[in-house]
Amino acid sequence: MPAWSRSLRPPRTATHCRQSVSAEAGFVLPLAVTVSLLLLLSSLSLQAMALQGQFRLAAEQRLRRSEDSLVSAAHHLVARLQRDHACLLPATLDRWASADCVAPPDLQPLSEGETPEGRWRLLSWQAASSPMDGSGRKVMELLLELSSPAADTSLRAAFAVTLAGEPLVVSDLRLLGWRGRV
Amino acid sequence: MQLLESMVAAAIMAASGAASLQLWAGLCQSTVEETRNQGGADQLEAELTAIEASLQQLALSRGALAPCGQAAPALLEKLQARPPATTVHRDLSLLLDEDALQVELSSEGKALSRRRVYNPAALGLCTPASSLPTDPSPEAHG
Repeated sequence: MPAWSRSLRPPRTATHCRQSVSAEAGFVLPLAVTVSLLLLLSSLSLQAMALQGQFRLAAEQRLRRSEDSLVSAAHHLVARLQRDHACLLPATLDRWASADCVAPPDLQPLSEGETPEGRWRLLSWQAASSPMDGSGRKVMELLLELSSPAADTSLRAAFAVTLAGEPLVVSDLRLLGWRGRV
Repeated sequence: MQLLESMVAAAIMAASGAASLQLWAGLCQSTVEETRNQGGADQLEAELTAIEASLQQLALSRGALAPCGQAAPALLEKLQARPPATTVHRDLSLLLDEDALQVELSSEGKALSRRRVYNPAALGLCTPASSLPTDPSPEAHG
């Protein structure tokens, strides 16, 4: 081997071996840290998704309990109208105050009440169909609001109340749906 | 040095593996619980829907069960004759001062519950006093 070729080859010294070993050794710890972080992050993100699902379920349950309270309140109100103040059934809410058949103090219990989920309030009682649409029935739309102090929100739901017969009496009450959250 | 680094890496991996395993176990448990709760909530909703459907069917087919003020017991009897469609626990009770029927449904373990009050007067299931035939008074004949 010529002298110039021997001079180009790097010499295999003890320093070179130590550098190679330290390069291999330095690879293990960052890899372990990276894999661990990835493992933990993926587990935490899945856990967050599960928690979100639980919160969603709890919110749905609250909404269903609010719906139950509003349906019960609607039944209570309509039954009370039917029993004690049937003359108000075909009249819209703005005419109730001027109705001769009810004293003003008696209107107060009709406009609000208490439920396990909060306080309900009567917002609207208006005709949803023309007075005489050929079927002899009249449909009134009832709008109630439930204020929940725990959730600090108010939910509104609408109901269809069907009146039929002569004189008009309540023949059906159905939940139409939500009318917003305040 | 290499042995020490390997040991530290193994310790980190073991710790993160154990923590991750614990998180996964919690995740599995909460997923099972969520699925069970969702199923229970759906069963309660289905039972309520079935009860309301039978109330409306009753109003359409039979009309008034009794005079208003006395109709809730008859309604209770009609609903008791119909067994719950699902595996929910159903409790029917009378609110006599309101002439109303209270329906309480709960899932297994009572984790979820629903409660509604139905008035026969609001469903056309009773005859209002204004529509009842008046008894002829003796003065009218005399």
